[in-house]
Amino acid sequence: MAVALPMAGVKEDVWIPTACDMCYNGCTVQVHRVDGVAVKVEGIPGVGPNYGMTCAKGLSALMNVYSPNRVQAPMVRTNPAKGIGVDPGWKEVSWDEALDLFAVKLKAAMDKDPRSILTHTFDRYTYAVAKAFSTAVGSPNVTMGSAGIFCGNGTHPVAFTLTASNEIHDDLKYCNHLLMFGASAGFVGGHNAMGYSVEMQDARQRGMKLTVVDPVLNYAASHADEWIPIRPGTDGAFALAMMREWVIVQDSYDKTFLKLHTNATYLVGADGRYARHATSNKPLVAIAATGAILPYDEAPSDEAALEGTFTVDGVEVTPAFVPFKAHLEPYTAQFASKITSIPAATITRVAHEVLEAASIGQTIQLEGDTYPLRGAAISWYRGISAHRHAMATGQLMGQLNMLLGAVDVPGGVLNSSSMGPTWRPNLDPDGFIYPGNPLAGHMKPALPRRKVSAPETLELQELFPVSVYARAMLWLGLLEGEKFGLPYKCEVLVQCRGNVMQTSGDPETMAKAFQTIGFIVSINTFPDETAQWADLLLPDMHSLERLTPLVGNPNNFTNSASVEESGTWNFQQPIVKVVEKARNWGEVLFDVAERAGILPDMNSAVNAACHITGEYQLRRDQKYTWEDFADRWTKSTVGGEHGLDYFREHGYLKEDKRLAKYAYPMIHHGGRIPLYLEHFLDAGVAVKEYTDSRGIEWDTSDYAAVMDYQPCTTEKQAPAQFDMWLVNQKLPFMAGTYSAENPLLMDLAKRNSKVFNIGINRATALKKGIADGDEMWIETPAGKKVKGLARLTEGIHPECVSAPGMFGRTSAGNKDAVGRGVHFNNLVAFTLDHMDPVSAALDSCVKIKVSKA
Amino acid sequence: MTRWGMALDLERCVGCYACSMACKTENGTPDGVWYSPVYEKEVGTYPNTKRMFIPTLCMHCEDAPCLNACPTKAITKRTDGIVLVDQTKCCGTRACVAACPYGAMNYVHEVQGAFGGELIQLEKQSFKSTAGTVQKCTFCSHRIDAGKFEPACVEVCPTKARIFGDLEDPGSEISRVIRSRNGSPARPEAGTGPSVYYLR
Amino acid sequence: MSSVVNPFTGRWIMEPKTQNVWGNQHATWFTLMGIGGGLFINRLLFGIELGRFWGMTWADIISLALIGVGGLILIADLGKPLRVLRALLNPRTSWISIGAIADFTFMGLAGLWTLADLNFGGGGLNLTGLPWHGDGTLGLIFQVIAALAAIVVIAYPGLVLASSPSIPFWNSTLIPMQFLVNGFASGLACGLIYAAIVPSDVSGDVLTGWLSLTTGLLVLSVFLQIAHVLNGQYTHVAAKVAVRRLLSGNLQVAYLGGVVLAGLVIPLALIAYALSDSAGSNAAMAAGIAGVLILAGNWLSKHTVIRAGTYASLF
Ligand SMILES: Nc1nc2c(c(=O)[nH]1)N[C@H]1C(S)=C(S)[C@@H](COP(=O)(O)OP(=O)(O)OC[C@H]3O[C@@H](n4cnc5c(=O)[nH]c(N)nc54)[C@H](O)[C@@H]3O)O[C@H]1N2
Ligand SMILES: Nc1nc2c(c(=O)[nH]1)N[C@H]1C(S)=C(S)[C@@H](COP(=O)(O)OP(=O)(O)OC[C@H]3O[C@@H](n4cnc5c(=O)[nH]c(N)nc54)[C@H](O)[C@@H]3O)O[C@H]1N2
Ligand code: SF4
Ligand code: SF4
Ligand code: SF4
Ligand code: SF4
Ligand code: SF4
Ligand SMILES: [Mo]
Repeated sequence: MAVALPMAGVKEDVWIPTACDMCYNGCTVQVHRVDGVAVKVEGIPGVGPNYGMTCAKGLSALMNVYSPNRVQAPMVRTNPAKGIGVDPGWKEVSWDEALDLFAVKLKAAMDKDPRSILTHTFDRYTYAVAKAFSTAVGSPNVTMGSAGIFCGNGTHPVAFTLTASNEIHDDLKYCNHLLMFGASAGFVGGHNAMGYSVEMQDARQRGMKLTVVDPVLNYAASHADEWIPIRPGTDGAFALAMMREWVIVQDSYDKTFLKLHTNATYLVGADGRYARHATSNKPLVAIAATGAILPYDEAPSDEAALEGTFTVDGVEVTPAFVPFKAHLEPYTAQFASKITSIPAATITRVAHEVLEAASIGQTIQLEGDTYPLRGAAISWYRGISAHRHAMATGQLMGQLNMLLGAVDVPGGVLNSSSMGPTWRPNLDPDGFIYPGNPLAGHMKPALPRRKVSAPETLELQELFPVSVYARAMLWLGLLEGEKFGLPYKCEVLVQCRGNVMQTSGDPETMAKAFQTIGFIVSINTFPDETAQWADLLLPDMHSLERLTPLVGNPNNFTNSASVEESGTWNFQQPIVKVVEKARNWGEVLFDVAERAGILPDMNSAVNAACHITGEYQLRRDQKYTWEDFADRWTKSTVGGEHGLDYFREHGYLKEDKRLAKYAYPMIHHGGRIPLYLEHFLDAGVAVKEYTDSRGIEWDTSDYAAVMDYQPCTTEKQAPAQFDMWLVNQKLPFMAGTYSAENPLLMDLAKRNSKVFNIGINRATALKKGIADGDEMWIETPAGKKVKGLARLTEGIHPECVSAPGMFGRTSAGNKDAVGRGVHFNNLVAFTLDHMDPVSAALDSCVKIKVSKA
Repeated sequence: MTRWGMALDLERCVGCYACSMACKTENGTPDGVWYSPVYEKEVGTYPNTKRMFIPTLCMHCEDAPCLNACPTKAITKRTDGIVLVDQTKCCGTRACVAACPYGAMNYVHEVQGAFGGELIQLEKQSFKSTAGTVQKCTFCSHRIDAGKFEPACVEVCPTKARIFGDLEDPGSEISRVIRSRNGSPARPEAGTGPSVYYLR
Repeated sequence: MSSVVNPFTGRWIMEPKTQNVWGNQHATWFTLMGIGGGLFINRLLFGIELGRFWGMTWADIISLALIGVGGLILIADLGKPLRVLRALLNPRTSWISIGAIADFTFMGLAGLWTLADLNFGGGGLNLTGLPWHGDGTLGLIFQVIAALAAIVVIAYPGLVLASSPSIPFWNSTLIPMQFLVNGFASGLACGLIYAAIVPSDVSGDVLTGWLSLTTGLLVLSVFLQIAHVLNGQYTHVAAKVAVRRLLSGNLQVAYLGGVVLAGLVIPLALIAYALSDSAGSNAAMAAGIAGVLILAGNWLSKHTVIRAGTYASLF
């Protein structure tokens, strides 16, 4: 069913397959077009990753496409003054003029210092082209900035560490008790929102128990078997107390898993470092029965000692598990209870329930292999991630799974794509897995650790040797780069699809960072807060207007990870032609590269960034049409017979069912995962050395081999009268700021009492003299104050107040969205001391005081 | 005889509004009209709190108060139990809106588009509303009549909280699930004999 | 009026919802039809003519005018007023249909009968020769049918409300009973006002009769109000919500102050005064004021009962 673009006056009635782009999940959908007008979006029955389901956002996509509020034409700013709420004084120009201006600015910056060009996008699909563009101009600065400030900072590094892929999914097909911390996965949120929701309900019907730990009765907790309200930022204490219960009190955990698949048996000395073999430098283990000391890969792993004291070269050493276990000692349930506000009895009960459900020792026979079968898993996302100690807490979550032996085995947490027909994890010299999947995407693997050096990048990535990115640092890098030894400033920002002004730090700080940038090009569909800062505003195509190859990709996290499913490739094709002057932003990058005289470099860089090989490679000396490029990229990635023509006809390509050995590779890849984070120690030393050398105060205490609980910064700093926390969560029918452009989604938001009101615990409110529907103030220690209507609820921790979503808009195409709701990010302190110095997460812990207005 | 019905599983519904939106785009309803709202209800006291999500739609009542209240005979019940409004006959008394115990009926004073002002092309093409009359869920009778078995709201539900089928057929999935889960209508005391059952 | 009327779909929270389907225009036509019907029947039964104009009784003229205007308000309120005749199609189950038929019947028969009284300019325009003139057989048939229609006209708005299983506070025959009692009392109230304005036309005995009748109806009304409130309080949570709004919520002033105090208690007191002092000239004045208050109370009672309507929550 090859489709042509609609033509006026032609009678037609067609369904056209494509991929949804109303959030970051890329579901496969089909669009009904009647007489040239797209009238409906639907799923394609049975087709993944969404199993034919489509959410409210996807279903309403046409209202974004056909919105009269779209950016219609290229425009230049006439008002040189920039600021929040300052009218840019847009003046329409032709594409020719626009591209010339763009190229001139680009060349000037390249001449001065190419590193000063920053490309930013949260377009997961065209990102590779943006990366190539950045390479071609000669800059290391390409980023998905907005998706890294409150996103997966404490999730991806752990996912990489555990599974050598950037995301983990709980195996809902086998899990019997899922303990979920701070997330809404499976409730039309989280990654693979639709597919995962289908699996979640099936699992719950099957009898899987769901326990949700969250300050808010969020969408997941609403239906959970148990909701455990927790004080924000304290999950680490909970996790440590659970581990203590298993390891010290019960002495019950998956010892076999630890011996076979982790470094728990690696011997470490008093300095915390591995004892290494004199010549091979391999970490050593001790054989329990004989006391023999052998390199880890020469010993029978199941015979290696988890406990005990040994000597290597006259130095006393112990298995890494010993210090790991010792450091759990202080974390009694009583201690954790004081920190988390969860009753100690609840903590121990949950620890027991999860342990019991894990059924350590049980196995399952799949496709001829015997796998461990684990009935319990621990999952987590943004609620753990968006914190000062995101890395530490994330690692603790990983360790919970490790102690249960529930990583990459049936019923546990699973890699999204670490093993496949042509790739498997690589092993570093210490035996740890790291990604071997060439299509793994836009993050740096967290292992092996990288070298620390003077910053080259605006994000100061060089100071985050075990993180996957340092995106949130970008804006502080722009402001304070010099302090860190960054030798240049940002001259040109090319930004597309990411409303950082609203979704990152507080607008005032963001504004200061934006002020430092010489020239801003925003390629956008809507005049959002970020577009207001542009010097040049270019109209991008909407997903239903453009051709985008390789949207859904079986090798990334939007597919189901479990064994029974197969991955799906899909793409986007032009279905409507609405905004006359809109252009595909990827194509615009090629055009600008040509005008700036760097097309040959761009073509080469595209081959590299998109992994285009062999006959499909772009030649340096040729200008390709976007279609031609897309076809080559597709064929090179999916295989020659599956080029654009294939996708035009079929819309998607389902891969074969995922084999057990790929879904559950732990027993196959032969690699290990670190329970004891030895590599953090030297990483921390290196960071310390560099920051000390520049006289920068930089907390490296989280670069420890064993993770401790530490309170977040606000908890330590805020005066006593700031006795409450502000918390934020996503909504199943809203994604980012984009959905506020959609009047149908806004209508739903207005009908939902939780969205624009401030949720406050009923008992707390009564104590503070606040009644349902009253106006109330929220005030931060930094003196920021916002007002909203109180919604009294039993569904929130008594010390918390909830302001969901990303509202409180100051600029949007849809004027109805402006000024509605609370802009959570505006109340977060965006300063170095609120950032996780290890994962570069911004702490979303906000202490506040509330009062009746 | 067929009697179409729906079972709504309150254990499964997660309140995502996909059904509400699918219905809206399938049936081309004007600004502010939702045939299938999903209500919320908080139950319990902290910390033993749950939130129920309650999807609704026209219950296609056996003894429909809307139909009874209507002076113009604009509301009819088909032999398969589907209650429909004929907008060409309705004179706009709103008696049905007042009579319906389930809030299923919508009176549209003025057909407005989502962006205010003029309707956009999509709306011109898909809206099927006459100002001054009422409209409501049709059980997607147009889909059933065209042989597309499932209503739009059923098809999209990611948690399979909606089951559609023939209530008269004891072997149908819906009949079985209503039996096994002891399904019952909302507000049975209203005595309208709904075709929509809730599974709790 | 907001563009979409559906009381359930403001905020999607499962709770009893205030109805927003009927409003003051309905309270007004309900009241006008009630007074009109009451006036016609009272003229027939008790001879409350309110004077004559071109031979016709003012009572009949006003009655026709009120029901006519009420009908026009009703029609103007329809979404599709031009389709009003379709409203006659479903008398089997729809009270609105029955009511509409009664409206037309009343307007037709009462109109014709009244017209037959027309005697203008001493023979210039004289219709008294029409066969149904006066209280002859045909005339009586006309009047009785019109009066029966008038009873329906008074009661059917109440029956529309009472037949709603959706709104428990309305779902009670006490409402049409109230409408009937209020209708008759209002008809009498017109007489009381007339007696205050043209005392010479109403003899003391007649006035006393009217006052006694009114007293009876008002007392009945008091009982009906109490019964309705108690019934609401103890039958259904949504009805209880309605009762709370009447007694202590946003309708408290209109209900307790308006309907109960100004519409029932004070008129009863004034009438008691008038009865005790039937000879005094203040008596007629007091009765007249009572009449005005009764009319206002009638409207307010419709206004409050409509506004208090609360849909039961589904769960
Ligand atoms: N519908 C929808 N789906 C989406 C997206 C979207 O915008 N809309 N975005 C996608 C993206 S980019 C991402 S990254 C994922 C994110 O997916 P999730 O991580 O599942 O995101 P949230 O729903 O925000 O969940 C965060 C939860 O953490 C809780 N929380 C806050 N602080 C704490 C804390 O200190 N401890 C604990 N235990 N909980 C805490 C919040 O109350 C909230 O319920 O969702 C993806 N899916
Ligand atoms: N308060 C709060 N803040 C958060 C989060 C949160 O849950 N709460 N979540 C955080 C997370 S996890 C993430 S990933 C980030 C996401 O942050 P962002 O990526 O900034 O998310 P959006 O607000 O959706 O911004 C997308 C922008 O792209 C534009 N856009 C959409 N489609 C197109 C298109 O086809 N072409 C072009 N050119 N532009 C398009 C939209 O107009 C919109 O301005 O936000 C983070 N910030
Ligand atoms: S989950 Fe995201 S990609 Fe999937 S249908 Fe919804 S908006 Fe579209
Ligand atoms: S689509 Fe299903 S889960 Fe979502 S709100 Fe509707 S019934 Fe509930
Ligand atoms: S639910 Fe309401 S609209 Fe639907 S048939 Fe019953 S009374 Fe009529
Ligand atoms: S609004 Fe229309 S359909 Fe409803 S009762 Fe009145 S005439 Fe009938
Ligand atoms: S059955 Fe059809 S019309 Fe009724 S709510 Fe579902 S989608 Fe809407
Ligand atoms: Mo994210």
